[in-house]
Amino acid sequence: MTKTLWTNRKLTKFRSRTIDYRDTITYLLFLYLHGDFLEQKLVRKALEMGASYCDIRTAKSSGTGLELKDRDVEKAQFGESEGAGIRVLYGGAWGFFSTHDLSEKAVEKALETAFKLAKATSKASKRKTGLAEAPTVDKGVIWVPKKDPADIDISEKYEMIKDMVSMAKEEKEVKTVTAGYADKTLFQKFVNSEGTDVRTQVTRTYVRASIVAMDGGNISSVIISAGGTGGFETFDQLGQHPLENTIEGAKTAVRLLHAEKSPSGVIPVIADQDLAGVFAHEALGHATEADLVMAGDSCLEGKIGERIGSDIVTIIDDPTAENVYGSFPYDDEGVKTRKKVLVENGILKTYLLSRETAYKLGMEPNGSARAESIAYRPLVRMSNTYIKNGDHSFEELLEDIKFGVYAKGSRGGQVDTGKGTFQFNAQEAFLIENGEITKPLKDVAFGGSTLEILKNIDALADDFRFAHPGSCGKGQWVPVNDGGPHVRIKSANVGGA
Amino acid sequence: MEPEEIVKMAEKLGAEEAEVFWIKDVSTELTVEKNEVDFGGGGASTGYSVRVLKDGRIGFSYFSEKDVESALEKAIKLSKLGKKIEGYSFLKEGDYPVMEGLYHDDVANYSPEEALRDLKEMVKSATDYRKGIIVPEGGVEYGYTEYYVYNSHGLYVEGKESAIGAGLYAILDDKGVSNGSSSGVSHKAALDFSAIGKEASEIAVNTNGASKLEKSGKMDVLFMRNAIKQILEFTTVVQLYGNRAHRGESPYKPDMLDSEVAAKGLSVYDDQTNPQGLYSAPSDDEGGVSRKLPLIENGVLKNFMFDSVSAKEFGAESTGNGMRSGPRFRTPRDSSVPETVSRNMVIEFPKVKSIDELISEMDRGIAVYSVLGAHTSNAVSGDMSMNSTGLLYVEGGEIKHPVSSAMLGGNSTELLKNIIAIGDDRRPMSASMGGFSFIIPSILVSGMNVA
Repeated sequence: MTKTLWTNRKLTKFRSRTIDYRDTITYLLFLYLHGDFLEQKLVRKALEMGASYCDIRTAKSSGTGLELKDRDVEKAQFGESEGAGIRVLYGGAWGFFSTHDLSEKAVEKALETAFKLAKATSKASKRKTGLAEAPTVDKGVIWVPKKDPADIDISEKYEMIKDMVSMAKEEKEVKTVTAGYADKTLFQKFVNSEGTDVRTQVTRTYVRASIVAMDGGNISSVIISAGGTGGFETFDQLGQHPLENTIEGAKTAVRLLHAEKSPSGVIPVIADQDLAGVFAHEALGHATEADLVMAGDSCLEGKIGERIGSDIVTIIDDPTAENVYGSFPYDDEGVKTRKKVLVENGILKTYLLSRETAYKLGMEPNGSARAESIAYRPLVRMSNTYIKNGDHSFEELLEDIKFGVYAKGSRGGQVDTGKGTFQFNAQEAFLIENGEITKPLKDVAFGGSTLEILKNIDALADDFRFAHPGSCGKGQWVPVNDGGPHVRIKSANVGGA
Repeated sequence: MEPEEIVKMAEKLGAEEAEVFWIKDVSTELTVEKNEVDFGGGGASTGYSVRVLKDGRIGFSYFSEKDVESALEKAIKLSKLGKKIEGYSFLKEGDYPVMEGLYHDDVANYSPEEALRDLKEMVKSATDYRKGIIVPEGGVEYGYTEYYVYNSHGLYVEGKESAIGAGLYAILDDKGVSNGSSSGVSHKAALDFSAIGKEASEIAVNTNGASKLEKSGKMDVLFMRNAIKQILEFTTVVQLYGNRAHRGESPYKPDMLDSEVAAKGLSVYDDQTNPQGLYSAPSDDEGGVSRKLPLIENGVLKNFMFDSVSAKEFGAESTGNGMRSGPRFRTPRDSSVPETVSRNMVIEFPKVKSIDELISEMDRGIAVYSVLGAHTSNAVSGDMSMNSTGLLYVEGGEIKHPVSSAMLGGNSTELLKNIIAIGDDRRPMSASMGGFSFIIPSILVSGMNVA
């Protein structure tokens, strides 16, 4: 393998963002700091040891975090970490080992351990694995923040979350507000034995608030978040304004204090953009993850090309969406990310695939391998998953409903991908009576079969937006987002506490 | 770099007090995908973090060894924003319990070959249980952790523990799809791998061929170990954090101490020195002395959990709960500040029966293996609504049929008041989001809303 010089690399920019002089220096420094030699030498060594493939992810991250409880700063922190994770394929089996010590000795030892694990696994396994073909890439990508948090003084970050607390407290029933701020910049280098060398830099900026309201014996709580990939400019996007979200959240918390219990039964439901997003992510998205499909743990196994939902439903996973929290330029197997149409007009089109799962399924990888950090092996993961916009107005969705529920936001959701069942609890809800929104409801849960709900979606509004940034857990946590328009489900199983 | 040097350097840079936390973690896992071994992986990590105290305010940073000075400078700069905690000082050295049985060389030095043997045994026991069972995923993980805390008062405490864990998930596609999971974890090499495999398959078989729940309303619910763990994790555990109670973010209030809040006979402990406990150690992550902390004793609320900062703030003492990994999002322990986090939650109740006996005592109810959506419970009020697709309908003391799906509603504080009996199947389990553990049995309660 020939040594690649930084001069060979193209500095790509993300959409309209430009790279200024300072960032170029950062980038050159990044290349310099990481050298070009160690990873190349080690992947070569792995091949000499008998491995059929090896990749090394090296990362450095730094970030700030603040947490405010009412008026007081609970946490103020700064942190930096670095490390490398090495993956080796030997005899059709994987070995992996990571270290937070980037000295040549430590990284070399990690390679040896990974190799030993691959050898032991290979001996113990009858099934052999491999990697689907992917283009060799030699590239550096920086997603340059327009308003880089590194240039913004900590006091300004503090003021922003302090304002969030004050705004929420404008509502007199709001008793406790915890507001958090975090930014993180991650430099990552991916080198493999096929000659790929990808270097990326992504910044994420994020705020979150937990708002608790009380009145007499009633208590309610609401969580809001905002942010994306990029710097402070991410807060200028639709639906990502920290203060607007806080004000909305505080109002919701107050409304919930005197909301009535939810009716239960099989009734029509309108889900808002946030809840529609949670549905796209939890109920459909997870079941399209090829590693779950392979493991026999997805209700969508063998269903590509089949109708799984009503013909108005199109569901997309897009890691290239500008400034959105779950975006990333290259996946953790060095594959360029792309927009994937998972469901098109009700037909299941593809799965989310890594190189490994694509090999096993005889499909083409689509850049969906993600790891929480260098300490983990990549799994098949989502990015920004959403239901495509429709063409009705919100009022049109309402008008045919005699008795139903309008459910907004989510306190979380969970899914059993094998059985194809899910359960979400709405953040807040309203009763719909004779085509009109009447009284507020609390503790509304809805659950059931994913495929049934997909078939029961009978109208989509034209008001798409991305929802709020979050983390998705699958043994590892990764940043994700989701979204959609208002979605009408003609019947769903609704229950309450 | 020695901890004394880091603390001295911080003091030289202007900190009044400083505290260093160091952790080393080495672990390896071998996993199975669809009945076959498919992956061996692991990692070694070490990390430092430092808290500094200046003008009564705390700053924090975490770092790797080469950037100590700049990390300390940043922590000191950040402390300016920190809230002023009157009279706060890092903890003084305490009388730490001598912990035996937490570290075993044979677990720390386990080999991939041994783990593969165990893994295969576990998977075979699952797939042999019944034709048609597949194991989509499963694994065996082993390793060890070492830590120390050192601060300006000369407090020094260290700990070391080994652990081996195994778990698997079984699916049966026969009369519809059903599944089951089981896991085990131990400090010493004493796991029964075939029992874990068998239990997962047993659940999948028991819940296969499910039909609709005919009756709804208030009924008895037998929450199997794994289901009750999921519920307590997002309600009772966090509701007993002192800072939440004092801020009104819990149904338990400080003025409820010494009053009855749960069924007579029910005791809840945070047992920080339990030899089976995954978070047992001589101290917490800031040098607070480990103990068996009674939270609820014989139905009466006895204590809330505190780390040193929240203790100072609310006029209490540290209870050995200053842990560096939040309950909601798993973060490496070296990159977070100590916060109040439970360690090993233990539940005790006088009436202990086998699972079969518990079922025979149920007039009309359900036995629930797992729930979906427990993490969406409202910890502030205790209200919860969950879905279960792994459950059995019981009538007249007999299992009638598996149920395809049910919604369960109730309140966590009511649940603790309505405990009828507990199972004899107590086992250590880690919380589903990580960060703390449980040593609990299955629990039979009355009066849950089931639909």
